[in-house]
Amino acid sequence: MPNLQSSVLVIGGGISGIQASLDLTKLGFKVYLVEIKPTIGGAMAQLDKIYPTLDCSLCILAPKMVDIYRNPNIELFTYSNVKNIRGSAGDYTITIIRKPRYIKEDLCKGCGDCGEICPVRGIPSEFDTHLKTRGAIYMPFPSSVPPIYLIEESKCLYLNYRICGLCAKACKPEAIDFLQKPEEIDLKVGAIVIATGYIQEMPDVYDSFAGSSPNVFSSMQFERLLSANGPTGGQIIRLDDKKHPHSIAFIQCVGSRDVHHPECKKYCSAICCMNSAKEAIVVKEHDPSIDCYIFNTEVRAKGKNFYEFIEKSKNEYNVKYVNGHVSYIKENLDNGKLKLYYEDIDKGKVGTFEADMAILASALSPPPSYHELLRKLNVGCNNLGYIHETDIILLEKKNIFVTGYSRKPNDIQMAVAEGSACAAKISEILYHVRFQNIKKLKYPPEIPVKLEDEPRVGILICQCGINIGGIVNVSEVVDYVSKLPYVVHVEENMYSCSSDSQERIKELIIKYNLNRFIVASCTPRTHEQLFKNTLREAGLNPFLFELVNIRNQDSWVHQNEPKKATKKACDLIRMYLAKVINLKPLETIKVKVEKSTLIIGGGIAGITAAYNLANQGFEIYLVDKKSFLGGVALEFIDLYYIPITKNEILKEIKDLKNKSNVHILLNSVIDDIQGYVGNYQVKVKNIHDNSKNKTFNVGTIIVATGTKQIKTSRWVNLSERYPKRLLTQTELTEMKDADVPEFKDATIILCVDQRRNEFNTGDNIKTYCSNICCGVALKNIEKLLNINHNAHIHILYREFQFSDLNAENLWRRLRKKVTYERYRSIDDIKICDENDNFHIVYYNVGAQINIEYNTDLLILATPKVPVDDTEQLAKLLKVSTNTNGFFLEADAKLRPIDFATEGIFLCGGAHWPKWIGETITQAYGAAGRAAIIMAKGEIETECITSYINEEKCIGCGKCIEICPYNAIELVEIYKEMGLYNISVRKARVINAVCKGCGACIVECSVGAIDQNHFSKFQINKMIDLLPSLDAMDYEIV
Amino acid sequence: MQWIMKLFNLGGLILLKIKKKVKSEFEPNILVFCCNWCSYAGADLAGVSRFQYPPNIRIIRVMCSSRVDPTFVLRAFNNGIDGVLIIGCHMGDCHYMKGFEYTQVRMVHLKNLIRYIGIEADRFQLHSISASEGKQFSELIKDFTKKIIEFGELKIPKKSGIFELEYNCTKK
Ligand code: FES
Repeated sequence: MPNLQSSVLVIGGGISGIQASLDLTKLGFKVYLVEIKPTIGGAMAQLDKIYPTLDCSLCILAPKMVDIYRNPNIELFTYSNVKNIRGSAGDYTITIIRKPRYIKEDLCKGCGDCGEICPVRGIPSEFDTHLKTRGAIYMPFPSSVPPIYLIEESKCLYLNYRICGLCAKACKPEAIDFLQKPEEIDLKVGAIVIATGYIQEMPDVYDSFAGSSPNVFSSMQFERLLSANGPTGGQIIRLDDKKHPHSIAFIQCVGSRDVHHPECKKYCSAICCMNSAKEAIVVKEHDPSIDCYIFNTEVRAKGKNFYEFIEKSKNEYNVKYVNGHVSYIKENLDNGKLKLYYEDIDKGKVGTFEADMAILASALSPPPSYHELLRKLNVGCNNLGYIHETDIILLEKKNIFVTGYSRKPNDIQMAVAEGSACAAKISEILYHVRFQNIKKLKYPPEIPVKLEDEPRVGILICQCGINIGGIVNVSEVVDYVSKLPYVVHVEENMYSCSSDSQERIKELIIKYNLNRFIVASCTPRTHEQLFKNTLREAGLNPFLFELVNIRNQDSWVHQNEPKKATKKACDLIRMYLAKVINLKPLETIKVKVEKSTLIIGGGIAGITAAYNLANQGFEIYLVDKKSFLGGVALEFIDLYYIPITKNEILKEIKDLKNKSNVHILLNSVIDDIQGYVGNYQVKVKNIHDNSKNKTFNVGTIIVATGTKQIKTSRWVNLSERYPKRLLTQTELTEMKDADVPEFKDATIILCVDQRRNEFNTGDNIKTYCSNICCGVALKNIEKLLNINHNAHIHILYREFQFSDLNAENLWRRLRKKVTYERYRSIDDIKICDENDNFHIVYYNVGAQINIEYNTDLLILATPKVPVDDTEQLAKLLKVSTNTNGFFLEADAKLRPIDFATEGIFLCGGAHWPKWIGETITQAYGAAGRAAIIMAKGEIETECITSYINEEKCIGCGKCIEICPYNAIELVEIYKEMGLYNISVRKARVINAVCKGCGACIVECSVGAIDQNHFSKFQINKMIDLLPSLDAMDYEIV
Repeated sequence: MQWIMKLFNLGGLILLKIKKKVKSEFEPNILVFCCNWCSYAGADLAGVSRFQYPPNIRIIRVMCSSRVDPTFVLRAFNNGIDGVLIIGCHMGDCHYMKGFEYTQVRMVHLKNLIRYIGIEADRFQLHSISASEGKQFSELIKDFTKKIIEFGELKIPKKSGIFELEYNCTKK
């Protein structure tokens, strides 16, 4: 075995790289994160909002970026490049070139004095997609990580002509160093992760789309335009005449899905349809009077709740979808509008349209650095510009992993899951050397804070760019707040979440000897943890902190009433001040974690997770209802679009059976689950044999229950009459070639009773898209053509939903043999039987007429639903499901494989129907997330729990009845009563189980229970201080 | 414990010395309790989507609506707060499974009590907002504020006595 290195190189600091890095450090590896740009964050940092949650993109990304920056086990190399890679799997030597920033990283405070004084102006800013300008010395964007400046060499007057040098004089910490040279650094790593992301290029086809017009934007440019910290401060205006547009046209598939034009990409970029829908919704929310038109060939909404999102944009926001491909755009010089020429598919003619603004959803592709990297690794790429799937497997054997957009076009959710998956795989390979190179987070000793101590409160008020400062008069708030009692120091700043602000908080705490802290900024839901960590680093108990929400719940919602918004901010801070001075320091409790996992579902997801975790040395309990492992994947005759074969899966199952730390429980269902993260007691019941029932303890749980295809009531009379010739897709897939009945003409109908809008939901009619039917249909066509080469095959579709590169290729290839026919609504299709044949009548969208024909084999793509006992399992696990019955993840984008409940993870079809490739990725991801909890062997529990005052408790047991988590128990204690010892019953909270809802407190009739951090006294104080004390409102009598 | 007393007095003392100016326009004080998981997130979403609503509300975040003690509501009215709103998750969506059900049962009683004291019962309401209902949140606040403005300033009927009682037992 070669000398294994306990560190990992991650190339690319976008969301996928960030996720991989964070997970890797928690699994016990040192990470070197190399990013070619001066800041990490990638494309996600540039986005305004994310779909389908419409969360602010930077808001949820920034805490992760700061996490990277503060993690002692991540060494960050920004503005750096990989020069070469030597060595072999497990022991690579990497040479990195760090380009000179001409700034000493450790001295720069990011104050911006240098940027202000720099005489060079008008350089287009890359971050703002050339819509904004900057100087020669600049920071890419306000919350860059690292938060420091750099000098662009080619533009700097001093570096080129030896004149100027003003910045060096302006810089107080003397951080500017004109003598810096490129640095070469050698790193030793055991594995490599490639996560270089995408860029949006402007190919030459743009000329035909009036690309040079100031009112034509790429989708990323428009994203910056919408963003509050973008070039127009979030205002939607035409850049030439500064007028508000009345109509905006979004043009899909610009420079992509085009096989003829050499400049164009042949594949679908996967995210543009959703992205445009999101942008249109954001526009509508800014100003409902703007008309949004989306010109598309077909809408591809491939993801959980994505189709519903598109429907929402149509129905709730009145975004209009025009079915047609735009061929070119001309500027109309008379009225300054843009004239679009497009093929109107619905009307079957060429149409024109005038819009004030056009947004081009142009192709996304891997950056040049990606191809350079592949060249260094000696692997080629396919004609689409991506690595071959087979090469990915090959690279994985060499401990090199490809994730995110570098693997194939995909959205943030998959990028995150893949990041976690890479971490899990690396943890499996380098299992022997983990924790060897890791630095422990060392916190300074906690400053003891007693309740009697006079509170000394520090307050930081955030401007959040112009988000808060543009409406709330922050300096007035500072003025007001500084006069309140116990407030020692108040300060305003630009971005409280930035890493320099964290340093500032620490400084303040020490300088003013503070023992409580308040930050008034955005929402605690995203940022509380960040500040709590900062407090702890400064030596203060993290629970002596409150975050006051003056952005989401103040400045953003009172944009027209700046005076009142300011007053509200004052009031809120005053209320939270009342709470914060009454806060108590809380201690976390460490709980031992069982190093074992329960995996529910032995399909491909379950097997993959089990295999990975078993190799990491954890104990596995794999439970499946069926009598064999392998799930639907083994029932299928063929596996689609993935470079693994059925034999490989069978081998994996066999390996799994031979492992001593894997317990496989077949024919079994979960009977009961008790306990909490780190310590679940599981009872498993064998369906046939009660003596095989088992009880065991596990630390984490992975849910991998999968999906199944159902039959709907549509054409039920036909399927009863011809059970052999009217099949669902799954039935055909599972059928051996010989069993397929003879046919001359076969028809596959897609979207049967799925992707319907909510008005026609009924029994088994679904609103969502089952994701895989289109791709499966293509494979089924291949299968049918194999059986009967001369058969005529129709495929009736609404919109093809694959963005998979292979599926797209197959679709093109099959075009010669199959007729793709587009229908409008499933209700338009009428089928009856005629001389033992199916007679189909439907309205064809392309031809604009009713078409009739006979067919003798009918295959339906009916919805995929979660397996039967999902609801029941959700109850046992105390997790929730969404309206479609699928398990609900913690966050659609950044925590796609976690449940809100800690210690339980989700993968595969239980999340949403998906391809085997995606299932495997998610399974690895879930395994990695589970391993993070178990790797250390202990976790820290919640602090916000209930506690019971034993003196007051009368042992009535009311709280026990009401507690949804069984977190309260009755204990018998002995009390001295004069001469006698009598036993009394008292309630007691089990800290590790208590989730801190507080329901018991109100139930207690003697007031014996209270909650940490939300105590009765604290909330009462807040209520007392709510009535406005604004001096303006009162007069002294 | 001196400092606790100091702050405790902050509200009371100042109010003793000064009197509220009679203003032409009535600006109600409204207290809103939001649970951390759904309604607070909904309120955040209203912000993210820039749905505007009147700036009279002050939100107190609690982990679950079931944490809201009826005495909080009474105390608020006693402090002259003109309206109180409790917003939880939708039925069945509560992060703690049953919390919202408990709240509903409790608040029915509370509402009766409030009516009994002689305060308009609609000055106190219980609602559900999910994390994705930013629009609904702003609508709800708009409606509620309008209603409170219609009711006008809160006048606590004298001699109800219930408040003194409540005060004493929560004084700590
Ligand atoms: S968590 Fe929202 S009501 Fe319980």
